Amino acid sequence: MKVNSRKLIMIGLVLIGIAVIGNLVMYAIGVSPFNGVKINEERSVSAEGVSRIDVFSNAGDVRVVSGGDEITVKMTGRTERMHKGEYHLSVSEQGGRVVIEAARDLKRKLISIYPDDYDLLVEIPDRLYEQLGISTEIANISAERVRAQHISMQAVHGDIKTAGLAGRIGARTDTGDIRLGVQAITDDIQAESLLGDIKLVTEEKPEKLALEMKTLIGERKVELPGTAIVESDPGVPTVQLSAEAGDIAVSAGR
Amino acid sequence: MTKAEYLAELEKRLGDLSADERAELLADYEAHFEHGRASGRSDEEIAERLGPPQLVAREIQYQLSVDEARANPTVRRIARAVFAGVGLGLMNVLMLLIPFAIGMLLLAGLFVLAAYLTVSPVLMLVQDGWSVEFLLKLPLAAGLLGLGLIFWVAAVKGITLFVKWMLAILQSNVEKVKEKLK
Repeated sequence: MKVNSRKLIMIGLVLIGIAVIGNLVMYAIGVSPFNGVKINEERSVSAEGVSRIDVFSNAGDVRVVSGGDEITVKMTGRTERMHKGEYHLSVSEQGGRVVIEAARDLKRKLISIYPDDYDLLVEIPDRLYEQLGISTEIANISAERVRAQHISMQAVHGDIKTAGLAGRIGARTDTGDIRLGVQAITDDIQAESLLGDIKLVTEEKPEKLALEMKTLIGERKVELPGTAIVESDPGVPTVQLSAEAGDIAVSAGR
Repeated sequence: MTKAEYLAELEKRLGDLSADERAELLADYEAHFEHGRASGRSDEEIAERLGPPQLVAREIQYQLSVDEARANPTVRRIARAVFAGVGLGLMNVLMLLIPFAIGMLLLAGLFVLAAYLTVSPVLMLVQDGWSVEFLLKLPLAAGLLGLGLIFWVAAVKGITLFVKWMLAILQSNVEKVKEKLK
């Protein structure tokens, strides 16, 4: 039986009309699926005596910035009412170590109105920490103007972007770009991406630098005029950048 | 290459055609040789002017496949004509294969989208189960189904437009091949 295309279009338009009117009425009452709920969780913990901060997030982008007198964590986003219980945030402190864990239950979604991800903002007082670790599964990492003796960032699938970091830095992502902005290269820096570009930008040019750049498929570019590139030396910071498939660049500027 | 060798090679390359079609074409090319000989040219010169029998056979098969597609326009016949044409050289790859591939991808995308929207109410039921949330999503499901039906009609109409478009491209391309074969 050949279906008349005009009839199908009419049926389609009627159904769309029902959808529009139905959802408008339900939205006005407040029970429409488009009446999403906000995710707005906030936790704070004192930064006194804290030397280590570890941040874990499975599916939400993490942004770590310096500011304030306390360690403040905010989880924000929007989702359907029935999925609100799938978002979890916990902040705990023990023995000078703060652990921040943010997660969304990773259930299979066949059809979804909202993107279902969240954003995690971590604000830490501006001082030198012993260690800062940030780890995500399917999310991006960004960090601005934070200082630690050792900063470690790891994203399984996600980009890593920093500005004004200071300290010994390690960054790793399986799929994603790494853009490391640092104040100066005074400690070792290691960055690795399996599939993605790596770019290191330093605000102050170092006098000397031991540089290792490895990429199987990609270009290598160094723009550090006036910097002596030397072999590995105990007194000289070492920068190791490695990408299986991606371009690698080191430059000075902002 | 002598006339006999040329015609034998051409006959071999046109093995897919019916006996009548093959006989008619070979008679045409025999006439080309006779005409050339009457003008004082050697078989080698005539063969060189006509072009390699492999290429001539491909051009003939391309022309016939386009005629077939015009007589009975379906995506399958269009595809056959495109791939027959692609064998003629790089220019034809650009002129035929690229628009064909783009058109097929767009159509496939349209059908996939239509199918996804049409089954979206079922997907919602599988995802949310028989719950209050699912019942509250029923108007939305109706809208997605309606959109799916409209996209389905658009995809089917798209096939007709795609076939017309490709036929126009094939026709203009085959005119150039016919000129060359004359």
